[in-house]
Amino acid sequence: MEKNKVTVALSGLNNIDSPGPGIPVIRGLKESRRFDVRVVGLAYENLEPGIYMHELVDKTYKVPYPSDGVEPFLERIRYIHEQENIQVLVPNFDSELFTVMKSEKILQEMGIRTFLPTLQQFEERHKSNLPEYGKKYGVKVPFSEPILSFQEWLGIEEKFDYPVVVKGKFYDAYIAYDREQVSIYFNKIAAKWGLPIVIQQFVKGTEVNVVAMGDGRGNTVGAVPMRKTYITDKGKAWGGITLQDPEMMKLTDKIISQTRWRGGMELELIRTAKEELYLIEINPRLPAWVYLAVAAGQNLPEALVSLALGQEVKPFHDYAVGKLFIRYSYDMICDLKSFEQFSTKGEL
Amino acid sequence: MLKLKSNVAISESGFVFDAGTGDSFSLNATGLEIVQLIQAGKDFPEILKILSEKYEVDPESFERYYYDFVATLKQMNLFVHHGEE
Repeated sequence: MEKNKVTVALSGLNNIDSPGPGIPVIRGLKESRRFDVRVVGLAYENLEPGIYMHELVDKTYKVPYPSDGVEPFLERIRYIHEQENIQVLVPNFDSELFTVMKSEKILQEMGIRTFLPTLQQFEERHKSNLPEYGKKYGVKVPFSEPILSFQEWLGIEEKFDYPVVVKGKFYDAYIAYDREQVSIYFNKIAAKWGLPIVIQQFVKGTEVNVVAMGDGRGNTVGAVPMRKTYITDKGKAWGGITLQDPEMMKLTDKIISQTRWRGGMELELIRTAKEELYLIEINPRLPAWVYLAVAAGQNLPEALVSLALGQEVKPFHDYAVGKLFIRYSYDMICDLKSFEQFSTKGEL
Repeated sequence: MLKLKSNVAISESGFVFDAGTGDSFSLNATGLEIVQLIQAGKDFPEILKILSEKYEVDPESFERYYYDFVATLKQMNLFVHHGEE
């Protein structure tokens, strides 16, 4: 089968100890049987490793932070589009999703397709809205409350039992065993990611995850459940294994069909000793371990690009159980010239 | 009767993989033999008979080792609980 040429721009090239999903998504796209992909990287920092991984990323452009606002972002995308003729844009960070979703129409007019959750889907699955989400869709979620100050915590502390999980708006989560630790983590996360901070009741059990994709019409395009077998001090998976778990698949189907989820997602779940599944988070994008799903037989990045292009995608029904991933670090050697070029010109 | 969960796979080398939890364990040759007998639906008296004929072991010691081993397997959550499957 002849492959269709497609230019895909994507972010998340920070393939570091707490990696963004960019490189794993690209690996999936490069293995696509449908597409011959030209990869245009979008980077925020000069030292994101993906910028220098030329075997995977054809060209990278520096882009402004989402916090700079929609206009600077669109202006930069317009320029990149003039150079590259981007067909599909895949934002891989939670923090940039809002900006891209807000710009979806303008991007479409420019000829750039995306396949993202709707604003409503994005908003209602926020960590701070999770209890209502659980009620609305009949999913077990741990009790949680958003707070804007540590003083506020003192007012609601008695509703919780220690330990609790202190969570940032987008990233970071710490288990706090007493009031003092809540205060420390509150300040630490608020300084980095802003407010609100979400306090979630800690649920004891095994953390399991599902990477999945919804077609926006209530159908699950693909889903692969995984258990982290090695977790870093930042809580990231350094190793994982695909599972055979009908209950996790049922829950995923239920969430996707009820919310008519559109795009990639990661469900973070806790399985208790009583075999109950608690939903602790929904990440509205493909996770950094998505290449495990590709290796297990579900090329979800390819499906995402197909859906963005308006093509029909046959749902995946199978995947290999017991497929492992083990992350590793690798010292890539780069020329100063390359670093200089990206630092000064914002392109490489 | 003890019954291994359907998603527990045991290789000939004694590698045990629980596809539901992702856990894996290694059995030694004797452990593997016992698990295979359990898998074949044998109960304790039958397993005792088979292994006593094969190995030099007195029934009292074997019983102790057997139930200790089975308790470990239960702790690893490898058996079907009552009412499941």
